[in-house]
Amino acid sequence: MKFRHSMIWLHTWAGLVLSGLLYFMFITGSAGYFDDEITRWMQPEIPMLNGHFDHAEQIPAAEQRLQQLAPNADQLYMQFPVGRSPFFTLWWHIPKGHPDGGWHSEKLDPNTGHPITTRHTEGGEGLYRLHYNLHYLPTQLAHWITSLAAMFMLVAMVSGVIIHRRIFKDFFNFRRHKKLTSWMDMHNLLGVLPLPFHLMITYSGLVLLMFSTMIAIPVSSFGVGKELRHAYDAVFEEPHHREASGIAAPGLPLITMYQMAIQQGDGQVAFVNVDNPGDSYAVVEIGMRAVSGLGEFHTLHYDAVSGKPLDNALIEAEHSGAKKVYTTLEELHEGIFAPPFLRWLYFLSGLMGAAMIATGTVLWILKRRELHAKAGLNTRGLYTVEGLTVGTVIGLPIAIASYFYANRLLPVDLASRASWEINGLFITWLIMLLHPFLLRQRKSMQSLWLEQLLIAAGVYAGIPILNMLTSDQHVMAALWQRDWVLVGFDLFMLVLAASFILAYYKLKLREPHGDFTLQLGDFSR
Amino acid sequence: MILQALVITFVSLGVLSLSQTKHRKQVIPAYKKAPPWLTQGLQLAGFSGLCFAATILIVAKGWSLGLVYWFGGLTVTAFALALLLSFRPKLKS
Repeated sequence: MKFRHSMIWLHTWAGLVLSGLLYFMFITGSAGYFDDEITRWMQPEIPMLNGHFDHAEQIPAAEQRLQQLAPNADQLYMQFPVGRSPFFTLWWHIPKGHPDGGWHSEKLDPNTGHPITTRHTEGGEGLYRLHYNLHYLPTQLAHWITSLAAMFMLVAMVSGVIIHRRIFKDFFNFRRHKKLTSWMDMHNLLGVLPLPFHLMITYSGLVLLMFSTMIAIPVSSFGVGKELRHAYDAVFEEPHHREASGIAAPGLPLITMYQMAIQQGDGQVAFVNVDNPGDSYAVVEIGMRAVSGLGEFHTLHYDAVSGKPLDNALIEAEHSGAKKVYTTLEELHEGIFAPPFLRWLYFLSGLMGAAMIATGTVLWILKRRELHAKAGLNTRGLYTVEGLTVGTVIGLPIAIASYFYANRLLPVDLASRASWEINGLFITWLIMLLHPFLLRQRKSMQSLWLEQLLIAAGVYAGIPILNMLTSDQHVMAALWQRDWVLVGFDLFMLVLAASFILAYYKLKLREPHGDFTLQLGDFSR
Repeated sequence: MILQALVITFVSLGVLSLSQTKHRKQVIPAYKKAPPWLTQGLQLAGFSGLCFAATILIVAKGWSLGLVYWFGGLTVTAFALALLLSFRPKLKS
């Protein structure tokens, strides 16, 4: 019994202390499963695709464009609007040492192949990166903090399983209209049912950041100087498929290799990559959308000069077992292989994680509220926690909506526009966190929840309208063109608005003070 | 294939829930007391259904992806079932 009590204590505090941060990580991380789709919506300059993307017509034009843009690049890459990718993008890498060394890119119109200028935005990727870089902090520190939060999450999960006595008996159990019991049941459901996902995502998240948090181990063998850098490069750098020979030789047009690839493999071609273009040892890699497995693509390799297929097995770099485990965990965590259905499962599981954290915090508050009332304690501390909870649980979604508003309302030529979008998100969140404390007079908790729920419903319902006013890609136009990414984005915003308004009415219909009362007996179960 | 596996998962979980007195009461109040062979049979049927769904997915998608699908499907269908049992118990079976 003593052990169980200590586990309850551990679960309560490990869960509560970083709950706000964990909620933030779960929400922004879940949004990351649709990063490309979000970026697509945030760049309305990209025209919608008419019908099918025509590889045969676009590849030669794109190749020509790349030769103009980057005559001295050592790697070229074309991304096609195929499968999940909504973009037609050219990338090129200028070798280190040149004045503009590094990666560059240009987006093209998927219908005509003409270059287009898009507004500066971090898009969905910026949103998703927040869940481990925390934006304002130095990278290493952010990795440490998010790893710490993940560690707390792991502790809370394991202790949660230990204290949950009837994990299988209560597997489907949700009792309504039972006040605290209902919250408890919902917390259990949201914790137990997606447990495989939660364990996987937390554990793999920790492993992904191990190069920051476990830095002492490589440092102990390589020191902190150049050798460490080399060791990292050896592990992480994607090796060139074949070293350049240094002898110039004209390559075959890429369309030749494309034609061979569609004969040889099945599926649509998603990208074309050229290593060392113009060299006699240049390699062309054609990526097809993978039909099975955890990887996103399967690739075919060709000699760029002769067009002869190269043996994939010889080219794929040999990886150690540890690297393979790391890559598998990374792929599982990021779900990059996931087709739409599985992607939605990932997304929903992520939201369930966020909801589990939210219900857990609400439970803590409800229990304290009763205890405080009984003991006649000062409720200022409790009010602070409650206010911060409202400002996070509802305030964060409002802040994310403000990110989309900033994307459309900030002037296109604003300096450092992309970072102002993210600043907008955090400023809005700050306002929502302060909202419970702004007015001199304390508000009732119920009215706080209601106000923020109403704001959230309003801002999300407004997003499709905002889209209509600031671009020509509103729902009806997107439906007409069958651009399901754009249709889906706007419709999902309406779904969110509807959920917030539903929650608003559910809460409003309760009598003002009888709402959250509870029986203490429920907790000693 | 995925859809079939999802339906099988959902039905198997439903069968498993019926093996528990608490949920059987919600769905068919008359069958509150059930003989042990019935509950055991329901359990057996439910678990074999889950295994069958897993097999379908593993055969169709391979071990790695199949298991990811299976766990994901389990999560959403179980959640849907829990809500269904709570809000509309009479709809079930």
